[in-house]
Amino acid sequence: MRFITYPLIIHLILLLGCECPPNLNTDKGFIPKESSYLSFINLLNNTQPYDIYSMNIKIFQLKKTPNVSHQNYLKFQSGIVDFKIKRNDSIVLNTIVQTEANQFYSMLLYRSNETIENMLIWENINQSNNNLYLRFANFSNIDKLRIVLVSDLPQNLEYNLLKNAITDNIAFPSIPFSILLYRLPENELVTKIENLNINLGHIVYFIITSENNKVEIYQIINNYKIN
Amino acid sequence: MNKQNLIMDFIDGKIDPENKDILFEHLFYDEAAREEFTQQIQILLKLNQAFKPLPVPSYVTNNIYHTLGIKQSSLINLWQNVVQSRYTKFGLALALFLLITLSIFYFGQLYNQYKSMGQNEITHSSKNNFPLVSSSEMYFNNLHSNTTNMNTKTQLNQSNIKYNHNYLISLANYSILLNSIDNYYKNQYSNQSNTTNFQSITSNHLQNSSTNETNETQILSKEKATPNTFNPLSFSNSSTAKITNLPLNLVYSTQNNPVNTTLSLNDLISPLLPKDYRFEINLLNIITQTATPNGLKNTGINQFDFNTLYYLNSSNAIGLNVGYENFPQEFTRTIQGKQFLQIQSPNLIYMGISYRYNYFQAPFGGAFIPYFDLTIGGTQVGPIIKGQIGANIPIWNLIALNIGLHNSMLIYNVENKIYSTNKFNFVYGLNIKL
Repeated sequence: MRFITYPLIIHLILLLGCECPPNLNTDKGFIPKESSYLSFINLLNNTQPYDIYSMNIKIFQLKKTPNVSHQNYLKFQSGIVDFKIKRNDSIVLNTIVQTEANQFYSMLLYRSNETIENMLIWENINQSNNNLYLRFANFSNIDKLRIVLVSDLPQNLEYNLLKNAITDNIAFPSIPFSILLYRLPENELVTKIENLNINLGHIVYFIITSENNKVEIYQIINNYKIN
Repeated sequence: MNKQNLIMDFIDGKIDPENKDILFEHLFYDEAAREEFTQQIQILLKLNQAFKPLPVPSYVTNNIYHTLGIKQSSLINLWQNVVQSRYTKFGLALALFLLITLSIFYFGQLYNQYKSMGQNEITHSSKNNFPLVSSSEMYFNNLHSNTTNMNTKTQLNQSNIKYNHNYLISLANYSILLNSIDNYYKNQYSNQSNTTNFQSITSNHLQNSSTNETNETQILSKEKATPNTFNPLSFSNSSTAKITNLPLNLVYSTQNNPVNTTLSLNDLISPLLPKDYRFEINLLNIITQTATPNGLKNTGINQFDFNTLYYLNSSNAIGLNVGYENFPQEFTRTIQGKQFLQIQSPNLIYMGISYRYNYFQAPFGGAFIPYFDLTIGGTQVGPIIKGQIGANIPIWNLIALNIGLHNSMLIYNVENKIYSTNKFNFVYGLNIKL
């Protein structure tokens, strides 16, 4: 008899006295069962953080990115879902994104605080290889750039990059290297970063921007091994 | 794989790169596929835009009614504000839980009593079918114990009720036998040509009682009576001869005013009440090793437990608990048709009832007293079960330091699936005896 009575009592209490746990007023986190991996690259000059929502769930708080930042990919609901950025409870960006399960993506947010634009970039990487991948994006006012990777490799690697363009993922060994940026066609050295050494298992974005003719490079180092 | 499945996989984000190429090839050449793809996307967009409807708070509807000049029934108002309140539901659930628990205890006790009554019937029945005690004995005992009371009615001895738990049960059993016993003596006496004056016999008997001739009457007591010595049919020894001096009228009087064997609720409960009860208060701070789940703010609250105990005897106590504790939760829920693992760490107030056992026989008993404590209670999201082992270390007079290990389990229901959170804590605090 007790084997029937006690479960009945427990269920009765659960049904009668239940305030549904999802409705509790507390800090919450959501991890989708079917997920892709997403990283945000914030090129906006926002002083206060923005809230990012998808499917009416707050998934991220977007803060101003420092010149060098280390980030992890967050699990994002795969498929076609809505994507909103809110500032003080008012929506400043409302769009739809489509991602595939178990794939890596980077979301670039740029332009201005008033008119935010976004770009979803698929990371074509082989996760099992545990490589280091480099990626360059030219958001400066320089129309054409030449990027030179100097290292102990027998030959320097060189890439040309147009304005508002992004390179593919460049697989690179985990050895010390330097980056030199030249303005084309003058072939004038604009800026350089020396003695970089980044571990394997990362996708590194070098975002080239310019403000008042001063060129800056953002380094966003995304770890795709810790999920 | 057909094109519908490819489209659905694309929408759900499950499509692999090869199938994605096949789908886009379909879409390029097949107009019907393009149309279906567009329709599916439109449906999905509408679903995404749709918000889950939320219940309208009662104050909003009240304001609407007020603005429209519609008077709302006070009963509906009461229903919305009080009865539908989650706090009322929680209170009702807790009250129901306490009621059920107490009922289980009460009926369990009753069951044990009935069980023991059944056993008593067997042990007290005479082996050779003769009664062991008669109502006449009760008459004698009462008369002897209270010589100043001349009332001939048989009365329950209150001190026996208080100190002998089995007395009432035995009394109830005896009452079944009394009629046969009295009938036996009635027949016995009526067969004799008894011409004794009632008044003189009563006075003789009272004289005997007052001169402490107890040996002769105590022979009939149930401790000393054996089937051999108390065989009324033998009628040969002095003890039974003494009984034959009993007046017939008195025997009738006893029979006409039977022993009150009705057991009131008060009579049943009074033996259960503790004789050496005392109160105790425990104030405990709860330290948890388990951290707040990743990505959530650590609120760093002070978790505590307040426990009042009522000791039934020196070792066993029951009590009431109130506390405030943090419970990390992980559960699966469906949002817009997609499954999510939700992680949260709410701070919950709980109330409950507890049982504590103190182990006084432990070595170094003076230095510390080990205890075991079990609590069953409720929070606003579900029931809670807590177990605790620890020790009270006397530090000053009635105050002791209380340290222990404590395990809390919260059980809750999300979308008709039962989840639980288990926490292992260290507790310390004060134990105050009142």
